[in-house]
Amino acid sequence: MKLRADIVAVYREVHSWVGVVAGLFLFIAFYAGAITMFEPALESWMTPRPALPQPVSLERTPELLEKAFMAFPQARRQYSIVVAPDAAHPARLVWPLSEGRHGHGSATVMMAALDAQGQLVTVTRRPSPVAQVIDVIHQRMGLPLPHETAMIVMGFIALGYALALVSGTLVFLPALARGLFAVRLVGGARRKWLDLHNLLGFCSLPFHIVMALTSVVFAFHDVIFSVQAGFLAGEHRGAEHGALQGTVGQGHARSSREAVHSATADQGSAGRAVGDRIVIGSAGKDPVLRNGDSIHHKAAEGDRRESKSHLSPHDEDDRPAMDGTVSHGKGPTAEASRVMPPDRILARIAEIAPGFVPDTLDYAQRRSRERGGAAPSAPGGSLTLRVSGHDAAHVMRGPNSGFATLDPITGALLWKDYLPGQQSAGFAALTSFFALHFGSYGGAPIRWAYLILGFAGAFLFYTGSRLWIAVRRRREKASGQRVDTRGTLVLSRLTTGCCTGCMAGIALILGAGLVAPGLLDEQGTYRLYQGVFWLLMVLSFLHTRMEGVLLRFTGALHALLAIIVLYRGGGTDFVTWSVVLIALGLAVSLIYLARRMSKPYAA
Amino acid sequence: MKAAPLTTRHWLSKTLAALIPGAALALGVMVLIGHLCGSTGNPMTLSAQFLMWGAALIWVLCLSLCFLFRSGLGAWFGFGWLACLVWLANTLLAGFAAGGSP
Repeated sequence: MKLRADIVAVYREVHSWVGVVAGLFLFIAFYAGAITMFEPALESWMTPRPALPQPVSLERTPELLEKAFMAFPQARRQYSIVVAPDAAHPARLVWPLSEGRHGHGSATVMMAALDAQGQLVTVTRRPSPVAQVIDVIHQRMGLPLPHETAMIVMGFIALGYALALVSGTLVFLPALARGLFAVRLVGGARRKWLDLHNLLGFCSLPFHIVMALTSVVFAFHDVIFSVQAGFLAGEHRGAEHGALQGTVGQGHARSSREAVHSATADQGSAGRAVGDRIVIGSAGKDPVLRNGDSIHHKAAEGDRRESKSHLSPHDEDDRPAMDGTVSHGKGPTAEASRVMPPDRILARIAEIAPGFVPDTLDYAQRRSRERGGAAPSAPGGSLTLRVSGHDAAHVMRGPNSGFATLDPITGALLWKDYLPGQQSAGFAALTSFFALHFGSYGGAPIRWAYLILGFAGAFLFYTGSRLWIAVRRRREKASGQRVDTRGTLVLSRLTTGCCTGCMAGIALILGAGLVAPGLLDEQGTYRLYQGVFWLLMVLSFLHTRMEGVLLRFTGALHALLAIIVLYRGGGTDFVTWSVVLIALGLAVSLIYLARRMSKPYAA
Repeated sequence: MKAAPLTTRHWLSKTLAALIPGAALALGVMVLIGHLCGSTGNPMTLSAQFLMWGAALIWVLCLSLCFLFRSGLGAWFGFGWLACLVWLANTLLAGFAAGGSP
């Protein structure tokens, strides 16, 4: 492969400048992103476990629902049934206590169970905000800006990232034939960093291409979709209503990203724990049935018929909506008591998608006309059911799940475009892009591989910056400079400040979350991270020796984190040992780098 | 006649050309293809999602190729003309569609 020399020269320059500028942000995105591979595991590991009675069986879940709704009518608005309660999700029934923001993990939830006497027991669970904050750091690339603004800035950095990939590949192509795997450790510092950078960059190129393109899409999809809505919707209006039926999922899943993000939110709302144990008396013993409302057994009879034949003169409100949900009028009480029991829903799903393992059944009252402003349980709202689950054999749309929308009363499949293994070829192709970003395919081995790729990606940007510094130093030395010029110094300190600031910030919020759970909320945790980050950033500019000091400090902080984790106990927990080993590995790497740093001009 | 070698002069105006008329071009191509394949622009449909990805890809390509222009002005003209052409085609298509329907 031969490219014109001047083109290669131009792209080399573009690559180094774009790479150096974007690399600082990308380090944060990759480092935090690698950790978010295990966000749900980390969150439930950091949240104290609640004391709840054994979860009721699936068959008894309707009884639990009735009692819970009698005591907490507002729970009807949105609730989830956990299919397989475990230590991390100990309750069969959970509902959010606050309006969760899409994409920002789990909200505070109420978990409900029945004790031995059949009385309702509820526990409030406030999830540890640390894992979510690490996700926010990842999404915003650590920018101290409001979410929307940060996402747009992130989009432009992602464009720069894409440009760095294209230019880097063009520069590297001519050299490709000459020994890709030759990492010349004996040569100069520049050559070693170059070889390492090329090897890392080349091996993880497909991964980086997916990351760059998906990040651009995450930032700008709203703008692009609004252009489509403005210029394409008009002339086809009404033409494809039939085609639209069943393609639109739940009301809140408006765009691809929101669909993805509501996934995160719902994943989170499916249980987890703290404090405030409340025992409700026998309030739920005699549920008052409104006239005409039946209980679950009747609904079960009805469900054998098809969705359409379910309509009767009495159910005038029952008509398929534009978006594939079915509106079963009479208000929420009627719906809640007629929904198909969860065990039958699960049997339905098993028929439809045999490999799909449902995690939660997420019910929500959809406000029929207004979005957002309506009273919580306004009559005329309709119940929607989305099933979140996983399937290691297929790509999944969300970070942790794929989805299906079912009719909550008949159990009919309404929407399967995001259901793993059941998607059309086109949707499966699109889903694969999201899955390749989230690592949501292939189960745990892929997540570990992504953790390693994420850390390697962060290191790629670090090596890139070091390479740039080494090249400049060499040039400056050749021209008789004895000390670094200002540009070299600034970049060197920025690199150290940014990398150590990010790592120390994350280590500290993890430590703080473990030592004093519940002390800091999401905002407080994010501020703590920002405080540490900017402190180290400023410190790195104080003195030349500071860089080595900061690397050692961050290394020591990771060692301390490992000690805190070990002291906290839970030695049989897989997460505990993973965190300890990763923290120790990072501590050793940082101290090794600090030792190398102390040698002048060794870079 | 041998052309002068390419340099990184005008890098800022070339980059801005890729970002501004380049964006118009990317969105224009997206809308044009959308018109031709009869997409409704509903974000939950397959065609709309594919078009969205396509637009992002074209924008990235504009940004990657803008340094091959000789000058910043050339880049602005290059992307600008293409964007104008594409949007003209879009306007015509929309006009035909509006005129053709009862």
